[in-house]
Amino acid sequence: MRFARKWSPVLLAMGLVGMGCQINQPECDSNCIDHWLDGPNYFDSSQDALRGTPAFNARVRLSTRDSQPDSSQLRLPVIICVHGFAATTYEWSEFADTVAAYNAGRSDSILVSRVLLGGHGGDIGEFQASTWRDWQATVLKEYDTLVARGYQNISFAASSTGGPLLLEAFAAGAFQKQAPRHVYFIDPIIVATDKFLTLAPILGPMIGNVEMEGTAEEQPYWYNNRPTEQLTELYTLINRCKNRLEDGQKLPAGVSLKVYKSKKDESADPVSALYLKKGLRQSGGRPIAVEMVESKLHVFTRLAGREKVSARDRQNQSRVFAEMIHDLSASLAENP
Amino acid sequence: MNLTKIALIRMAGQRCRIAPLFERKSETSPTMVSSSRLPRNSLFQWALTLGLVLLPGSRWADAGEGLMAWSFRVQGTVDMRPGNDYFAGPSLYYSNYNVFNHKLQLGASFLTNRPEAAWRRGVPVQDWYLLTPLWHWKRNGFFDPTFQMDMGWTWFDDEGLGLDNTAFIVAPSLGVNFNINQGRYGLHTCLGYQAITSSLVNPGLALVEIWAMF
Repeated sequence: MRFARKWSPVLLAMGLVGMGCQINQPECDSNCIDHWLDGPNYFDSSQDALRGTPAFNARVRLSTRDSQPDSSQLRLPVIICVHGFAATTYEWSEFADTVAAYNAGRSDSILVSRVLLGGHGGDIGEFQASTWRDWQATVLKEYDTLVARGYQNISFAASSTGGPLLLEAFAAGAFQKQAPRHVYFIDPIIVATDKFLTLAPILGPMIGNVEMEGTAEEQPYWYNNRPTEQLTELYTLINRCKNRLEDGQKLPAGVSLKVYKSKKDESADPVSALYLKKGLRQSGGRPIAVEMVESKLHVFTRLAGREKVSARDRQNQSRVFAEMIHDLSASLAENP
Repeated sequence: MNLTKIALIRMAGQRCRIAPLFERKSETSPTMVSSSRLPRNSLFQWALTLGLVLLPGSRWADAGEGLMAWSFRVQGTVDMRPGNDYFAGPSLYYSNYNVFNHKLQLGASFLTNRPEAAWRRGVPVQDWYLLTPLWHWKRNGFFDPTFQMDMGWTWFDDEGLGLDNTAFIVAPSLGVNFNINQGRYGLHTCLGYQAITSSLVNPGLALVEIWAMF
């Protein structure tokens, strides 16, 4: 009895941890709704339009959309759009639409390639089993494929977790063969706003699955369930990036990078911009460009599916898209 | 001559010196002549002097029962990942036999990461100012469990980005203090929880400090 009294708090804590381990699995088989991305019948073609399905993702990726480009196409600027954690290529659909409108009737068009991160877009089990290196792999594969085909003017636009994925690629020397021209980070996450993410590696088994239910329009394109393993992976990735930025990181020669960061953000802490400003340098040692944007949205360039969108949000989106398109078209003029 | 007497003499001396100063000021400022109030800086001097009289004259410091200790404290975030950010700096502690038999210690700390920021260019400069009531359960034992509550304020240099760069700190912690050489010096370590998180303040807290009486 004395033993039980003395050790009962410890036993209780162990029990709670054990219970946490039991409830760790996302309960999607029975609880997820059909039209959710993590729902059981999402890829049933009778249920949904093409957006988000594997067939759709093959179509929005340049390497699978256009496998035999001619020489005139190879000189056109290409921008690879990288989405964030638990999202899909939908996050960059408005940019693709804006570029398509810009391209109408022009010969010097801009090519957009939207890449689905590895482990994303499929069923929740596949997402749960993936690592941040899997997420990154499809982006690098697309870049390497386009370089191998002969595209010479490739840039990146990365939102949220796309930012640290590209920083890791730069640090690993993934773009040594041919460096990208422009890189745009939209609300990159180096520090999460929710500080409990730092406890995910410790308390993960007790936290289990985190549900983040979006609007009805968002639900088919984002995982509503965030398994603890994925939260730990996300924290591992952003912590690596933060540590590297603290030591100082240099971009390859010829790369210009601009960061756009919302002043208020529920997912990526605005202090992420400070880490990038202090830690990241262009090849000549010059600082990168950082702009704090008057916005309360995470990935402020994605307005589709939002519950409330203000006139200022629309202004921010159109201004940033216009700046990106201007830079890309200017890069074509510089190297005709 | 004890400290109280010295302070009282000092007060009397100050009163003599303040009066002519006050009159001289009134010559150049006619509105001050009619005013019977002391100027604000004089009130501050009086309050400071009174405080200096009361503090050593109080029961707390009576008969030399107060103990002062200094420490060097290092703290970081608990996240089980490499590359922790550490904050380090000095602390000053005071306890008294007449106040819970030295079981309650009051501390003040200044922690910073400026040395680290000096050689790692991407580390944002951050300072912490803390007041800490610290409770000892076994002040005389070698193994002394503790509870402390850090309260204070933190700031980081946002380099002109307009970030929300200040925050209050409230952090309860449980730990253990190892009293060495009959409590002349020791090692204190604890784990805690930052109740108010902000941009650069994470919930998990771990600290180690070495201390010595003086």
